[in-house]
Amino acid sequence: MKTLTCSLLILSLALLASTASYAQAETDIEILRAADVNADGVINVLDLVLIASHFGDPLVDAQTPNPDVNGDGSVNVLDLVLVANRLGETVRPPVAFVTVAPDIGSELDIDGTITLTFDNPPTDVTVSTGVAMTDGNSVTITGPFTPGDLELTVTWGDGTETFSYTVRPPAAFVSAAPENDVEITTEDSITLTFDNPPTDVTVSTGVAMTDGNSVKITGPFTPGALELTITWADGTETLSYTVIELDTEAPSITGGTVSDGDTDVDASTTIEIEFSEDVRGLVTLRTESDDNVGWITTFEGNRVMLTPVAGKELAPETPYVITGKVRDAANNGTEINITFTTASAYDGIPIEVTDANFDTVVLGSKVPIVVEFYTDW
Amino acid sequence: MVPVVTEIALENKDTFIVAKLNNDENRETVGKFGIRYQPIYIIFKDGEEVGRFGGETPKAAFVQNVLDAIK
Repeated sequence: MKTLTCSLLILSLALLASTASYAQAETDIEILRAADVNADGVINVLDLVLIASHFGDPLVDAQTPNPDVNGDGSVNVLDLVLVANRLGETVRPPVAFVTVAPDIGSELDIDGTITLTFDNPPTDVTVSTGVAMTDGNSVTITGPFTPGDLELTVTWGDGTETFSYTVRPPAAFVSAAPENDVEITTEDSITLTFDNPPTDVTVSTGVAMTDGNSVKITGPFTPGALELTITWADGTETLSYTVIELDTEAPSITGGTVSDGDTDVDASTTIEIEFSEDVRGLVTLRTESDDNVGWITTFEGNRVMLTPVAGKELAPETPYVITGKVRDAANNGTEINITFTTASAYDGIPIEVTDANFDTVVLGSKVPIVVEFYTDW
Repeated sequence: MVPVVTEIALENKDTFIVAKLNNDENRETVGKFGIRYQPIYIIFKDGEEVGRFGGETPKAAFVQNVLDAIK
């Protein structure tokens, strides 16, 4: 009996509704959606059937589909009438947020773009920051955004969403080390400094490693002129260098007034040591027992000079050592260890010896010595 | 003889040294080396006696004696 009654009722209501308006006002969208009980986008006899089939049924909160169209807590003829009045009308489905790019929590440039995608074209889109442009199912939000944390709230006709990002401040080039227009070796590295951490750094030559506000560019670089272009998200910079071969060769002794093992070295004049290249370092003249004699050491280009000092003369026929270390401009080091013996003070005039100095002068001589034992007559 | 020794010393100063010791004033050394007649010449190399000769010796022989002893 219930089924028959409902069928007749539906039929009559459907006929009644044949003259219903198809216009859909945005203001009653909620009523239309309630009337579209089966949520198929069209209000028709199927919605009426769904209501009728639930006449007198107990309702559950948030029941889907919900036949209690007017929300009065019971399914009855009033719900049927409400639907019947809207028969033939279409209902715009609710627009739901689907995705956002870039991902929430990621870093944005100040001029970055955020793109939202919805399941249907959204309406009445507003954003808390930036400018929103709607195109079909997509909404593009452009800056400029303020550097720092960004809480972006997007509101549309059917909902609202909030997205969190970090807006990266733009990075400006500050300095390069070594500075522009200098010589570097094939194995040198170049360090760039920015006022903020740069992103998306690429270089025309070498490999770039970013660490905070710095970018270290390592070679090896090809000898010759180097035009190094650095590009990052916020700019580009070109630096010029002259690349030279890496010096790995230590300086060597090429000459001088004394060589290791020399004897009869004149102890009264400046000693000079010549190297294969310009050097610097620390070189001293010492006794065999490692005491500093106190001569003055000077470096001039590729030469080291040891100059006598009054009161610090060298003893005749005595070994001394020139010791120390020199380095070239590339910091290649060479240990110096030159042992020599000073010349005898003997000038060719026979020397008088006595009991007192015989052991020292005769037995201690490093030069062969002939002693004439004589008697004054 | 003294002038000859002086010449030898000057001409060979780059090879050996010539020294003189007065026997009367340096008895300890004279005794140590057993000097009984003079002149006598003792050749030392690296603190050791390597030869000796005495009497009137021509210049060339003097030099040769020394060179033979120190070679």
